[in-house]
Formats: sequence, C-alpha cells, structure tokens
Amino acid sequence: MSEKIRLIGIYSAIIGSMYILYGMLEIIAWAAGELAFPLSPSPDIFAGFILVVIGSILLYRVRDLLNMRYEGLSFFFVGLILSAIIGIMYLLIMGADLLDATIIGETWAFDSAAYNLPAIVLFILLLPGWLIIKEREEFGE
Amino acid sequence: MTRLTELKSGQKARIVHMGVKGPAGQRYREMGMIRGETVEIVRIAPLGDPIEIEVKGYNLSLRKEEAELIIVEVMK
Amino acid sequence: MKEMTKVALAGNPNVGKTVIFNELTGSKQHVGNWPGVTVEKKVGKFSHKDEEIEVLDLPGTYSLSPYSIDERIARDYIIEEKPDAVVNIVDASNIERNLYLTLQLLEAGANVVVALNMMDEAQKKGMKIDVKKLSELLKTPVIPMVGIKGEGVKELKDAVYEEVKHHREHRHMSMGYGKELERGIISLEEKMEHCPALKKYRHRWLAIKILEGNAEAIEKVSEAGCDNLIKEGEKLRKQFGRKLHEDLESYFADKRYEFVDDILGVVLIKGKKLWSFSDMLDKVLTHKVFGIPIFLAMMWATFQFTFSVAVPFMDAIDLFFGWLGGAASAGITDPAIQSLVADGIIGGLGSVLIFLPNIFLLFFVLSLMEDSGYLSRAAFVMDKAMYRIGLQGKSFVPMLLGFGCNVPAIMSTRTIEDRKDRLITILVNPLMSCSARLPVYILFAGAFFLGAEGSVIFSMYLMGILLAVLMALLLRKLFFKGKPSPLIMEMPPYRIPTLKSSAIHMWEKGSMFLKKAGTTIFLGVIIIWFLSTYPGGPGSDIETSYVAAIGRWVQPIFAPLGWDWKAAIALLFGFVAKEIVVGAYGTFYGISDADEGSATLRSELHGAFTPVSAYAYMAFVLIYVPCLATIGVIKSETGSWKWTLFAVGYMMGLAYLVAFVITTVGHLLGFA
Repeated sequence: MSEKIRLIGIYSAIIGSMYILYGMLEIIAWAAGELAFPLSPSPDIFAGFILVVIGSILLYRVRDLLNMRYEGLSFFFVGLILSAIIGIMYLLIMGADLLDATIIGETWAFDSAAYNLPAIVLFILLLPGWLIIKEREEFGE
Repeated sequence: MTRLTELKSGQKARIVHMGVKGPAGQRYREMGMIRGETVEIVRIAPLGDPIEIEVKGYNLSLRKEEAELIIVEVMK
Repeated sequence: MKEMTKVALAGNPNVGKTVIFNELTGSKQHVGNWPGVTVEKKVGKFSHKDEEIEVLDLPGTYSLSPYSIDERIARDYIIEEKPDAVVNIVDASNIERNLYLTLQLLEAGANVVVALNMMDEAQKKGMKIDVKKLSELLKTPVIPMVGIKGEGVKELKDAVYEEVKHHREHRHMSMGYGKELERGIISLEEKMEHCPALKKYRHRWLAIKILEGNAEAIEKVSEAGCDNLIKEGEKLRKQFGRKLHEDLESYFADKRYEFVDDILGVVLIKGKKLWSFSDMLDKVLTHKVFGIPIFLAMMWATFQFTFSVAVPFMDAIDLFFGWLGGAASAGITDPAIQSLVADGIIGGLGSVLIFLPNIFLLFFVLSLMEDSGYLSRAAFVMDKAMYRIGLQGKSFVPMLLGFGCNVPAIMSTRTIEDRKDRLITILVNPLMSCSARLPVYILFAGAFFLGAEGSVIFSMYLMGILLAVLMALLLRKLFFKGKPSPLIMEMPPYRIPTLKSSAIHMWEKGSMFLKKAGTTIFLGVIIIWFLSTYPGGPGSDIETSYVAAIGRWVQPIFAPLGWDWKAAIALLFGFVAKEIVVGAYGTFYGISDADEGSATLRSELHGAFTPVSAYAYMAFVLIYVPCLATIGVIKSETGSWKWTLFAVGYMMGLAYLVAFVITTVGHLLGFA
C-alpha cells in the first residue's frame, strides 16, 4: 500500500511537470508566435494557464506522496479529474469539428492548435491514475 | 466562551447562544443550529468569507456577519 | 367521475426527489408554472393496480415555515390543497436534519409515506438504520430506496397505493411539547372549534403555528374573523416566553430536534467518520490558492465546449432552413406569400433558431455542475467578492453565463432565493456581453481598428463588466435598500451526475425557453419582415420600405452620435436578435450572405462611420437593449412588466449616455 503511494507520487511529479512545461510553452506561443516543439503547443493563453494550474495541483503535494503520506492524494485525484475534463473537452471539440466537416461537406484535418494535442496526450498519459481512484475506499483514514 | 468566527478550521464547539435574529435566525435553527448543538469548522473560503461548518452530520456555509452572533464554547 | 388521486413529493433539496419523480412517472410528465409566481410546477402520473395517481414534484423545502417563495409554494400546497398522500423523501445519509421536515409534515396532518432514499450513501458512511423501528415510532410507512438505481420504487408505489386507498385517518405519531405548552395548545384548539372557517386545517397544527408567532397562520385566522384566537395566542406566547426565557419559535424548533434525536437514539447506529471522497475533493476545489483558478478554468471550459460543439448543429440548422427556404421559394408562386414564407418566416426563424444549440448546451453544462454539487462550491468561493458589489455568491454563475447567452443565464438565477438579490442579478445580466454581439464587434473592430481588434473587443467586455458592477451597486442603493440576504447554504456531498438526468434538465429548460421566447421571436421576425418588404413589395429596394422610413424618422436622435438611418435600423433589428445586425447591414449595402469577416462590408462602413462613432456604436450595441428572447425571459423570471420595462428603459438610457460620452470625449481628444 505505501509503496503504491510512493509510485503515485513519482507518477504525479512527472506528469505534473509536463503539464507545467506545456502550459508555459502555450503561453509563450500565444505571446511570441507558434513554437516548433514536439506535440505543437497551441498558442492559447487561457489553455496554457489551465495546463499550468493542473500541473501545479499535481505537483503540490508530491513531497507528501513520496514520503508515503495519504494527504497528498486529494491533489492527485483532483488533478486527475481536471485533466480528464480538459482532455475530454478537446476530444469532443475535435469530434464536433469532424461532424461539422461532414455536414458541410469539407475535408477535415487534425488541427493540433485548435485541439490542443498536449492536453489530449497528457490526459491519456494520466489514464492509469483512474485505477487508483477505483480503490479509493481503501484510503479512508 | 467565544464567537463562532474566532474558531479555526478543524475546531469543534458547542452552541451556547444562537444570536441571529429574525427569519434568518429561525432558519439557522431549523437547519440544526440550536443551543447545545455541536458544530465543527470545516473550512474558510479562499477570500476569507464565508465559512463552512459541519452541523447535524451535514455541511452548511454562512457568512462571518451572521456567525459573529453565534456564541460557542470550544470543545477539547 | 372520480377525481384523480393526487400525491405530492416533498423533501429537502438535494435528496434525489427529481430522480424518484422520474422513476415514478417515466415520460408522463410535464412542466408548467405555479400561478402567479415564477416557480416551476412539475406534474406527472403513474398507474398502479387499479389507481391512476397524479404526482406533483414540490420545490425542495427545509421546513414548513417557508423562507422563500419556493418553500411557500410547497407549504401552501400541502396545507391548503391537502393531497391524498405526501411522499416525504428523506436523505438517509443526512437523516437527522431531514427528519425535522418529516415531523412537521406529520404535525400538519398529512398522510405521509417516508421514502428513505440514498440508503447506499448511508451505508458507505457506515450508518445502520432500523427501518422497521423507525416506521413504528413514526407510525408511518418507511420505504428504503436507492433512487438512482431504481431500488425500492415498486415498494414505494405499493405503499403509496395503500396509503391512498385506505385513506387512513391520522394514526401518525404526534409529538408532545411538554405539559404546560400542551395545555396552551389544547386551549387554542378548543377555541378553534368555534371558528367554522378554520375547519379545513388541522387544529393542532394551526394552534402550534399561532403559538410560534407564524405570520401567515395569524393572517389566515384573522381572515377567518376569529381574532380572539390571535389575542389568546399572543397572551400565551408572552406567558411562555417569560417562563422559558426564550421565544416560543426557537423552543418549538429545539423540541422537534430533541424528538428527532430521541428517535435516532433508538433507530440509528452512527457510522465512523471517514474522510470521504467528497471532502478530499473539496480540500482542493475550495483551496485558498487553487479554488478560484479552478473555478475560472471550469467556466472557460464551459464556453470552449459550448461554442465549438454547437457549431455542427448550427450548420445543420442553417442548411435545413436554407433548403426549406429554397423549397418554399420554388413551391410558391405568389410573390407576396413567397416572400412572407421564405424570407419572413423561414429566413427570420432560421437566423434566430440557429443559436438554439448554444443555449441547450449551456443548460446541459449548467445541469452537470448543479447535479454534481459543484455549483454551491462556486457560490461559496465567490461569495465575498459578490457581496462587495451588493450581490451574493449564487449570482456569480448567472453573470458568467451571460457571456454565452443571457437567456440561460437569467433562467439560472432561480437558485437565488432572496427576491431583491435575484432581481438585481437579472437586471444587470444583459450587460454581460453575450456571444450574439460578438459578430458586430468583429465587424466594426475589423473595419476601424485593424491590428488592435483583440484589445478593442476585450474593452467591450470589460466595459460590460464595469457597468454591471456599477449598476448593481446603484440599483442596490436606489431601489433595493439593505444588504444581500444572509447566506444559509447547504453544501451537499459531490455526486456523479448522470448524463440522463442532466439531459432531461437540459431538455426541460431548453423547451421552456422555446415556449416562452419562441412566440415573441416569431412575432418579432414577422413584423420586421413586413416592415422591410413593404410598401414596395417583395423584391423592392429596402430604401423604400417602412423600416427605412422609421429609420430616417428616428435618425435625428442619433445624429449627435454621428449615425445614419441604416445604423438606426440595424439597431432596431438587433432588438429582435443581435445576430441579425450584421446580416441587416449586408442587406442595406446589397451584399448577399455578408458576415462579419466580409471585406466589402467593412469598406462600405467606412463611408458611414468614423473610428469614434464606430466605437460608440459598439458600446451602444453592448448596452442598449437585450434581444426579444432575453426580454421575454426577464418578464417570465421576474413576473413583472414593471421591471421588464424598467430594464429596457434604463439600458436604452445608459447606452445613449455612454455612446454620447464616448463621442464627446473622442471629439475632445481630437479624433474624428
């Protein structure tokens, strides 16, 4: 059990840092123009801000988790939920675009700037975290 | 004895005097804030107000303006 | 012909009443309004064995001493209409506070069946409830249920059927308030025997209400002409007040809870206090540092989602109406009728209905937030900031929603119980720049402020917010003196909202909007078509139409602002729906299918406006008058023509004032 907490801590730290990285890149891309960077961060200051917030939440109590204390789990769970809300939102937007293209008869192309590829990828990377939420009953103190 | 607003989050106290008047006061009572009842401060909102307390097994939020009028006795 | 059996669902908010209502009535339900008030009335029916039962979903209420209009409706229905049975839905995981209402219902003499819902949540908390014993003590059937899983529904139907069929006389338990007080109650009851007009009420209940000093009960007695009762009641109140050192109203509340505790002492085994998942979430969602950023992120996500996902549906509607218009034109020979149907009805309706997906999606997201419990956290977090401007936490979400569309925004003010707080929130809401105004900004900003469009458009939004804050403060000072009502808000545990119930909410609210705003918009569209097409007839130049004549006639008012008659008319069109303004301009300049990006349209505008007059025009569009749909919703949510006309009036005035100030200041600073 406690080893699990430690693993969650490491996991949270890695993905959290990536969120902060991409969040800042997106803000910079909005200010200074598109960046040539893997996963093409979208030039969107609001999306960037939100990615930074999610990353901060994931990182906030990492020290607790690494020290095998339960308190940090709340932050991991909320980070998980927020990443899902944003990730699924972009997927739905993508789906709506696809549907729209079909309706008006245009061809559809994946627009990484509009669909925020980093947000989608990071959401997918966090998916294993949901297995932990399923076991949340065990964590009552 | 102290006011409900003086309490910090996590502290438990027993209501000694429910000083809110009028229909609002009656409503607080009907929601469980009666004399002798135990309440616990759950948290304070980010901007400093309102406060969230636990009473009768559920959570209720109220402003400091009203909480000030509720006199309590802190429990160890 | 036997009258249909009537059953009411009553209970605290957040106990799963709607879910149980849906389980009982399925699709056989419809929503209306309680007469004279802006409260939703949900009625449905179901058949069980040989009975057809009508079910009324009453507004959630914490007590039969109402604190808001919603609660008064619930109370009045139970006391005055006396349904054949009342299903009291109790949240088992929150049983202590819920039973307070139960006791009041029993005291009022209602035929009660207790639906002990959310048994699963109680179990998770480690609570154990002896349902049989509870039923014995209350002398009332108690049906354990898990509404969202459909568990217990059949048993509930059976119990309701039994209660209704056998019309049990009040064998429910009755609680005592102490020897002395009981004597007082009985003495009032005896006097009541001599007051025939009060026969329909349960005497004991009424006596207790009189002793509590309940204003409405006293009013009823006075209407019945039995003032001696009131005097006796007053005497007893003073007498007991002195004896008990507290006023009787609190005494009764205390006693009821004492009784609840006695019952629960026998019936309930409390659970251990676990750190629930809900608490874990709240730790972060209402966190000092993260709370507000998360909330802002959620609102941003709401708009991103609704804007983008609405697009395919909007395009589908566009295509549909386009096809329909074409078919009508082809199929109708008479030019006048063809124009009426194709341009007027179909074209006009299409241009307004195209924003329906946006509105429906906003309602959907709002339902998700409400059902999950997040909305009360949003109010909790923003309350202090809103209090500073004379509003309250629950006003924040309606204000933000206004950026999407003012219609769902104003409808969402239903959660605000206090009438004054709610009215102010509604009256300033249209100042939050809705998405329909955006094409107008884009058109003009693109034409006159190339390179700085973003900032110019942002300044419009900012202006709207500042004006909303100012007007909120002003309205509070001038018309609604006093402070916002005290906050007494329950923070229910987070629950996973079911897509099904959110979809049902979305459909209900969306359809209500369609019904209310639909007719007004339709009429508005027809009138505009008529005024634009005649007297020249279909195909004639718009410069010869009535609309142009009105525009020219009205233009002098706008002369100081430097606007021509076309600008005036576009504003008139915008009255129906803001989306029409850009299209109207296209028509004026003979550009078909013009949109806000059209370069030809932009260059045409240069002949009619200067940067200053354009900026003033944008500000005017921001402020002047909400679209017909919004006006319709203001009327239905405030229930008053007075306030609706006031809203229209003050906004027109404010718009003109601001536009004038901009023009004057602009000229003073040396701009054209």
